[in-house]
Amino acid sequence: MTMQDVFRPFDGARLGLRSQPHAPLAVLVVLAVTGVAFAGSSYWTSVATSTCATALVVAGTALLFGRLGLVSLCQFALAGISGWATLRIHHALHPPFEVSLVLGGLCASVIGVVWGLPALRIRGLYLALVTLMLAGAFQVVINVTGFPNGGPGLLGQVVDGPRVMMDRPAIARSDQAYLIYVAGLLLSGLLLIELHRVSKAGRAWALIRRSEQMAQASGVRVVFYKAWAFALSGWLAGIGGGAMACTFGQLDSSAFGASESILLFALTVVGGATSWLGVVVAAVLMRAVPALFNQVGVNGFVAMILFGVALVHALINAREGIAGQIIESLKSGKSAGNRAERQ
Amino acid sequence: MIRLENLTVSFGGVTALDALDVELTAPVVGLIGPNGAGKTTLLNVMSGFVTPRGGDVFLAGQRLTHLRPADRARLGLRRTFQQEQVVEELTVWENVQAIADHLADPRRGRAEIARAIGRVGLSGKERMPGAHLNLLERRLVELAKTLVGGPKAILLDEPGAGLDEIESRRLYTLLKDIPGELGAQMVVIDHDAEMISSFCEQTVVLDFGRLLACGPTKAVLNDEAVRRAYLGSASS
Amino acid sequence: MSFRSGVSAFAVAAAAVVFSGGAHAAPNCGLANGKKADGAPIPIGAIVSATGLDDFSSSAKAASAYFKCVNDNGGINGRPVEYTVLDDQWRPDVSAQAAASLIKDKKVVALVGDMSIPGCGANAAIYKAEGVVDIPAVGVVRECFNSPNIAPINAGPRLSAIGISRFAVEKLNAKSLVCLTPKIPGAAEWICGGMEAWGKLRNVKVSTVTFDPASPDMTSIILQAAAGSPDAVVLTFSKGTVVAALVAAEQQGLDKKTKFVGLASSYALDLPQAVSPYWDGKYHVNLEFAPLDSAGADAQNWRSIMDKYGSANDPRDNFSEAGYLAAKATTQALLSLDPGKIDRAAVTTALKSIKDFKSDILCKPWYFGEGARHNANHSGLTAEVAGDKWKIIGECVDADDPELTEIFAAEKAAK
Repeated sequence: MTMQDVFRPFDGARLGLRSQPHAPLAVLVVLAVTGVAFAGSSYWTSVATSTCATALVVAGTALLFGRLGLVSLCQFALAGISGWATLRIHHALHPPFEVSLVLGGLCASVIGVVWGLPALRIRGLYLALVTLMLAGAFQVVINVTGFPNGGPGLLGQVVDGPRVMMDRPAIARSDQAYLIYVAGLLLSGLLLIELHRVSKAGRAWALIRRSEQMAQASGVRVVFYKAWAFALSGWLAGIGGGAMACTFGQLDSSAFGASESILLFALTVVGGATSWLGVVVAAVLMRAVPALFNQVGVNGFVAMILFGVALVHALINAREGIAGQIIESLKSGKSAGNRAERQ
Repeated sequence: MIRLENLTVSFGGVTALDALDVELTAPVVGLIGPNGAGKTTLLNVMSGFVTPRGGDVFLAGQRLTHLRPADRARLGLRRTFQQEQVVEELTVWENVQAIADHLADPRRGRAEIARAIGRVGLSGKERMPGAHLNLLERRLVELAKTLVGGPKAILLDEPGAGLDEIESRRLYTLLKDIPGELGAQMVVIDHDAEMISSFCEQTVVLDFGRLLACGPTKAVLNDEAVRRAYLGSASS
Repeated sequence: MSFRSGVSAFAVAAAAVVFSGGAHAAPNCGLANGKKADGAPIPIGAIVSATGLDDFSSSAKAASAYFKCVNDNGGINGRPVEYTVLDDQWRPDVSAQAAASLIKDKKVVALVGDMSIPGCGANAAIYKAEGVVDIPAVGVVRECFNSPNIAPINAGPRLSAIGISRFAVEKLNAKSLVCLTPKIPGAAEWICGGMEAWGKLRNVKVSTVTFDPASPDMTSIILQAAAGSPDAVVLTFSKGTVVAALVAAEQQGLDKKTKFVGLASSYALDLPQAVSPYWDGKYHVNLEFAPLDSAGADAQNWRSIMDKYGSANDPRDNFSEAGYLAAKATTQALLSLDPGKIDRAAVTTALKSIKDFKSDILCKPWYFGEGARHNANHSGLTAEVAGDKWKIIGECVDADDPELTEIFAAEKAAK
């Protein structure tokens, strides 16, 4: 099956902005990012950069959960795998950043599919467990190997002297430029998901999520489309991981524990897995909110407690997450009425 | 068109279908029987979700038994489920398009989708999200989904479940001419013998996995054994 | 979590013991003229790992107390120090954000008194690029001692391990050693690697045993460490885990053949009470600083500054002592500058040229030093469990890490 085959037939008229308040929200988010980039605060520029990079990882999680109903708890590990590969390639060959990034993303994508393959026929709790095992395995391995930091050998560990940092992309050396660069990566990631949503693949995922039997009876190659989703989700996580590696020029194994993947999933549910806004909200919760707390001197554990409350709230009251509530509250009372009728 | 040869299915020790040997010839075939008679199991065997212990399924002379569900769909087999399966976040158009994606010729896809939606009377509602449809509309979308991509056989599992008498009648009126138009055979499971007798030329009656009767609907429904096993108890 | 609560229990106990010492002399700091500084503030920053597996904010609390004292006593020739402490939550990305915030937004002239797990590794590059100097109170990882702009006050676990190995070989007649260490990336190679390199020169057999810090079944870990009947096992972790290790060793009767020694990280005032009398005179640790109850003038001044300018809840531990020293050394260097011309470049030069900073909390004077590696503090005392207290035995011992040859040569040349 070819790429064109997957994207055909394509109905551009539905590209996301139909009758929903997406356009103003998107403008708001773009303004926020540009505002941070030009307000001159290094702290918030760097927070916004890691928020955008994290949002890419969230996007992969949201794709699997929101489109296919699949719970994957290894997305941060995939970001770490890509981060490792990106750093390894950079320190070995010093190619342009984009080359390291794409290769890193492909690594995560392939490993996501390979690990997912046996899991493609399972879902729910079992898939969650299998993916959590990958997250745990990665945590164990990376704790021993560490991330390459310019040293010799395969593992690239410096044993004597300072660590070597990875170079920023040539077109985005400054903090501000790099923020815009990563925001651009995020935008392209979200557009990629949106393109899929309105294409053959997105519709096939919708059928699979509704009922795998129905999808099969409709001629859908379920395993292929699931594998495709895993590959895309791994790719997004991988691009996020590569962007993280380049933010500070290095990565630390402590940031890629299995618990991070679990937190990421929980916040994806809180933010809302079915819309791009939910992806942004989840990343803001994961990165920007703790940064704000840190800035005003609130204990870092407070954020965790708030996240717990927010998760319970999302599970009970807001099935589409915070993003769903925002979009819903911006919509006309008429569609809100329709919604109530349906329930 | 559809031929079942010596079809046997068992789950554990229970025989769900017992050496079923039948040829479905009429354009619209009714499939009736009391609860647990094996009606849905038979549909599942035909569409490939249940592997028979023995016997074969043929569609237009082609053996299906070894094929997976998606491959059978590509050969022209369509089915619906007891529970409607409309995807809420997709529009009416997209719900049908999602099927056409995999089964229809891409060059004729859009025309086919439009024709299928028009055929079930949902023209003008193409852009309505599945979530906003009422049950009759959902059943109609389900029907439209079976019409794209040149179906050869359409298996409907209680297409009128949950609908009232008038809605059901509207649905059946719609579907009874479809086989003629598309050159496809239709097999309909329904509890309502009244509905079956008004719309189906041929009727198959199952009881405890065995074939109780098969033939012209009128004759079958008047059959003494059928009345005793099923209709008698149902009407008393 | 038990690790954490163990440490906080230690902090409370340490505070109680020190408080029972009674009244101290008036705090002495900065210009010591009793005048409040009201000039333009001088921004100084610190990054600590406060939220996470453990709370390492005590050094910055002591530095903060010291700077408050300075601000009440004439400041830096009239200019107060504005000290900003950020928590990096043990996360390298947050640490890098904190560094960006301090260096680029707050425009700090230096970082002083920090103790961060990921900080040195995450931020060494930005310190160098922005020409900022960092004087951590306590460096925990390799990068803290291997970066041109970072010079910690403490000796670090690698030297602490070599120091106590030297004690074990010279005073306990050990011929074979085991370095027992939790599996933390980079740490085991750095800490135990130091012992191994040192052992090679001294003809001492050194082997390394690592364990998973997440699931410590101490009995099996300690049995594994003692499997080859080494003469001594060096415990490279902190108090809570050391107590568990000693309890396990006692149950297994391992001390008959094997001695147990530890790093400065297990020097906690309540450790002698936490282990049974069985360990009397049998457990030895290396110290990076003077004992907490030292009667030295600087040690007393530290305690009285903490009493007057710190909070009663601030731990009085070795980290706090080190924070005090970092702030004091920085203040002395800043006082030598023209108050009108205090900018980052001037401060960097001033701090980099700190030499011969004497304190009774340190074995030898501290200095910043040249080059890409800084390890001024490389000698420490040894303490032994004696009843429910620690007893200092012997003199300061130099940790002769073969990696530090250049530093020793430079020190010799300076004399």
